[in-house]
Amino acid sequence: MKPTQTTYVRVAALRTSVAAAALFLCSDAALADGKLAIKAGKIVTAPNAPVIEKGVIVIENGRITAVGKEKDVKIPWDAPVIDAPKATAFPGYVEAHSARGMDRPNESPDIIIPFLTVRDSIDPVNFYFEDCLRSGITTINVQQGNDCIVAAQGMVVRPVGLTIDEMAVKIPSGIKMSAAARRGASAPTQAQALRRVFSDLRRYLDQLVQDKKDGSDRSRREALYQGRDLEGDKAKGRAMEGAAWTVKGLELIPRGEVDEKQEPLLALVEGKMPAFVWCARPADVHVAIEVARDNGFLAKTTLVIDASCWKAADAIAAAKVPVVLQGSVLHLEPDPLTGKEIETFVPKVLHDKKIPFALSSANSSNQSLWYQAALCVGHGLPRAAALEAVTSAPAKILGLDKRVGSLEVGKDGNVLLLSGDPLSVTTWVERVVIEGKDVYDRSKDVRVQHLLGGKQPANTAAMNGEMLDPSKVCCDGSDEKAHAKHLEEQRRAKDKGEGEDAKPADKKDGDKKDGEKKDDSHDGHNHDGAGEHREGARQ
Amino acid sequence: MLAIASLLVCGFAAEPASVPVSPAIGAAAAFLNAPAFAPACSAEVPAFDGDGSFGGPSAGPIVGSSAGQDPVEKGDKPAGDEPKAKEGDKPKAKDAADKDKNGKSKDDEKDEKEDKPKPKPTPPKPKGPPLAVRADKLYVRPDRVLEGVTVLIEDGRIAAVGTDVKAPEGVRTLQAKVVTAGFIDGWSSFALDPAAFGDERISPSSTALDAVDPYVDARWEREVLRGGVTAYRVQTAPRTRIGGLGAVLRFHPGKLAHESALSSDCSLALTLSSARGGDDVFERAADTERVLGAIADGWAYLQEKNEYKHELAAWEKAIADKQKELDDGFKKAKKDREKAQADAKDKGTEFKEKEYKEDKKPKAPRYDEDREVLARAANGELPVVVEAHSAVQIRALLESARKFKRARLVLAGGAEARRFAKELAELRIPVLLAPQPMGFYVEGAISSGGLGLAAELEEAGVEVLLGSGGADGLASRDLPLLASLAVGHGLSPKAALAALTTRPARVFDIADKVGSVEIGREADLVLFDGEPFAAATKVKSVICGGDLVVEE
Repeated sequence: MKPTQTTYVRVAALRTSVAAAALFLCSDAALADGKLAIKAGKIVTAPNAPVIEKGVIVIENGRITAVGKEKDVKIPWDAPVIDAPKATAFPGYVEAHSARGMDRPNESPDIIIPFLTVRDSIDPVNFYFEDCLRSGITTINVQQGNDCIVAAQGMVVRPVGLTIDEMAVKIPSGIKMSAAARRGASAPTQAQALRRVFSDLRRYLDQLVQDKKDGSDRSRREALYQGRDLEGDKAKGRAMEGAAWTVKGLELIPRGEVDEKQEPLLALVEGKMPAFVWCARPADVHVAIEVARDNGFLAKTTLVIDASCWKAADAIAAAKVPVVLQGSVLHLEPDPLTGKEIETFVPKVLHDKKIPFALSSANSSNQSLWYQAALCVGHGLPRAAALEAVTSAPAKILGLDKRVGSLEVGKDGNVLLLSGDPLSVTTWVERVVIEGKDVYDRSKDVRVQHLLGGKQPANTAAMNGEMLDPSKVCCDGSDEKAHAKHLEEQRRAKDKGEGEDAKPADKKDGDKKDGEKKDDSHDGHNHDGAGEHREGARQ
Repeated sequence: MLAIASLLVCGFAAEPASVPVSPAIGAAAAFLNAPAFAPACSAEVPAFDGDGSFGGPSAGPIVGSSAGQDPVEKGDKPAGDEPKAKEGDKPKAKDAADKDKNGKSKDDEKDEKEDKPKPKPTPPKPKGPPLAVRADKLYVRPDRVLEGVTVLIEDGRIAAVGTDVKAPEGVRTLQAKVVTAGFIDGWSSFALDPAAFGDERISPSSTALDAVDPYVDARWEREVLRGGVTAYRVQTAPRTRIGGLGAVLRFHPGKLAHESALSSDCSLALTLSSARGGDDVFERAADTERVLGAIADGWAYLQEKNEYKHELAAWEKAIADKQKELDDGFKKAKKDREKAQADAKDKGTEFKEKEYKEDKKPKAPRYDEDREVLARAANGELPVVVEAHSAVQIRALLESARKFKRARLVLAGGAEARRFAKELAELRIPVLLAPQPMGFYVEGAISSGGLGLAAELEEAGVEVLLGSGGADGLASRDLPLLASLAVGHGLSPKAALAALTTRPARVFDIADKVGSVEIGREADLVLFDGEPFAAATKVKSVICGGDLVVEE
């Protein structure tokens, strides 16, 4: 259960039951209706936009209706107001590709499953989504299958809600494919398998049309033979579209007759479905681009690349495809001759080649999007480019650039309230608003409070089963100075008391460890003995 | 021969653009077809390569009779060191092949597109600046030597060769004592994905181009180029039973592998190994049978497809006839039906429709991309390189060769090939030898093969090719050294040069691109300061695809 659920109440009170029902039917519906105003000390609407000092954001029915200086924007009388004079408002981060948040990702090699969707595997109460809020990620494309040939369809979600439908932002986000050798296979067989998927599709469609033609021709001849009048009952179908190849006569086939296992691939070839292709080595990039181009979905393709793929930057730039950089932003490789380690900072290469790219959280909460962006700035990437790589660039990749990635009128009200600069390591995500819904408040975040040795919430147990000392309870997090002062006091007290207190505790621990060791060695001896015994028996 | 003032060797593949435009050169030029002057030097050519091209029109009645098919076209490619081949036939055959290419109906083209794997699109790269090479001695081909000639290179191709060819002003001219075509390593594993080596999932249609790392360190490539080797053939999986489709690539430091590729499907590889099956002789025999069975499978598929083609044609004709008959008789049929309905009504009986019957449409054999490749191999459209060392394996190979006459088999390794030299020569099976340096021990290579094997086979009339054996990615660098070892043990230098240039080019169907220094060929040249294969000779410069890639 997410602790943040309780905070919904305040805003959700205005929601009508009719709208609540509608929410489950359409993923495009806003998370919250009603109104919300956010007053922030600073508003950064987009990475390269000028900062608005003392600004206001008004969100109505989930969409931003006004952004501007406090004096210029009129706050509706009935809107609840979040007043954060010290905070910086920033658009929510967008994760373009994540394999987390699922009950069980399907990563079996050798499978071709374009007809399955992660919808059936996403776990709304997964800890990951809770963590996303803490790091300010408000839009996530859940997409798995780096180890498959053609994996399932992904979906874009927001990290709130107790059901998939409540979380859904866009279904599907695209089909996942892998150009990288899957487990136990080599590069040529992977490329072969990927190409075969589409040559099989083509042959299947050809056969479908041929069978239809053969069949209908026969029935016509039968009618002629029997002297019946011919009834031209033309089957409904649609001519195939496709940038690379089409199958003539597909209009004869009612689209419902196309095997549902092949249907998503057909959508791909017709340019109606985005594709995400995983590339682990630079050679894979060439395979991915070739397969996408030969089958007409290059314009809808995003490459999910490993850092080593920077070598293929020219090929990526020529193909004009965006990329999601997965994992490290640095590529390390020993020089084949000297053995000396060569370090390449990949986002800089992508930036210089003008390749649109998104950063990703490396499937780890410890290296979340803001951290990756900060690393990029540290390595010399322009600040705006680094921030774009976690906001507007992934939004564009997901086809949601009209909804997320910046704080503009008409876009989703996904607002982070940060305690400082978005890229500073000392900055906290204080509050998160998703589509006008106040979904996260750090001062009420049980886990964070606990991890920091802070306030012990009522009726919760500490990790060791004991209640924390109420005298050590810290401030509520809103007053930074008081908090710092309190921590300082605590440390001093600890330093002072270390002389007497620490020793007995250590000794106690030591005793226990010794005891364990003894047990271990005893066990070990026994095992040895048994081994000897067995050996003896064998001899 | 050298008395000819200006000699322009006109290649079959020469395009109008590659013909020299300078009127002075053009006027003095005696345009000659390669075979026309061939008899002059045929006397020097050993018997082994004095005959027609293997697997070509003269390879047997079966191939010769398949008019318009690929084998004819392929067999007719500029045939390196086969000067005795029927000269008169060649231009004609070439015309036929051209006509075949141009005169194809749309349907044929479509079929071809579906049947053959699509060649990878190569993005056009800017060609290097024009170059000229002034050679004291030029090996146009191993059996054709010119002295004091200039080779002009434009757009990556050889534009002119002749004694009075002058480099246009501003064109850089290189000097060399001896110039030959770039060496081709017929058996390499350079830049190959290590995971692909023993991947048992590799099937006949796996392509080596996918297994090569396009971003291999350019310094490795330069290292190999310094030895004079400009191109190499790799096989997808050199250690598995079926190694997939091979590719011929270049050691071009400035280009990605597929950009400089000479062929993306030059061969099918099979590997017979006594390591499999262990000590059990029957197991080993079964394994050999299974591997060579691939050719039989391809042949069977080819038959199935042909059978289907005929059945389908017969069925279509029958149906068309039937259709016409029914269309003509429709009015009567309608009347009959109305009459029958009326009769039935009168009599109060049930009206029964006549039952319509027709033959079922024949079913096409199930498409299988692997069997498509095997079929091409069995039909001789694709050479089959079979690695075999022991006498038992080679005997099995020879049996296959007798059974499937169209297949163009190449024996690779062949440590014990000496015992079959006569048969190999008779069946025109080229042998791709890898004179193993110490340390890269291949079963039986030294005990029964040894360094003199190449010379012995050559003596017996077997066409010998040399390769580095692919034991190591960088082994290609030592290929010229291995060749000089073979020369030291009796192989003639001319045969050694052929074994590294014209022969691999012809066997792997890239003779229209590389292997000789003729007009229209892509410019892969090695500039020596002495005779090749001599220990004291140094490679001074190397030109690869028209680009100067190694410079002293």
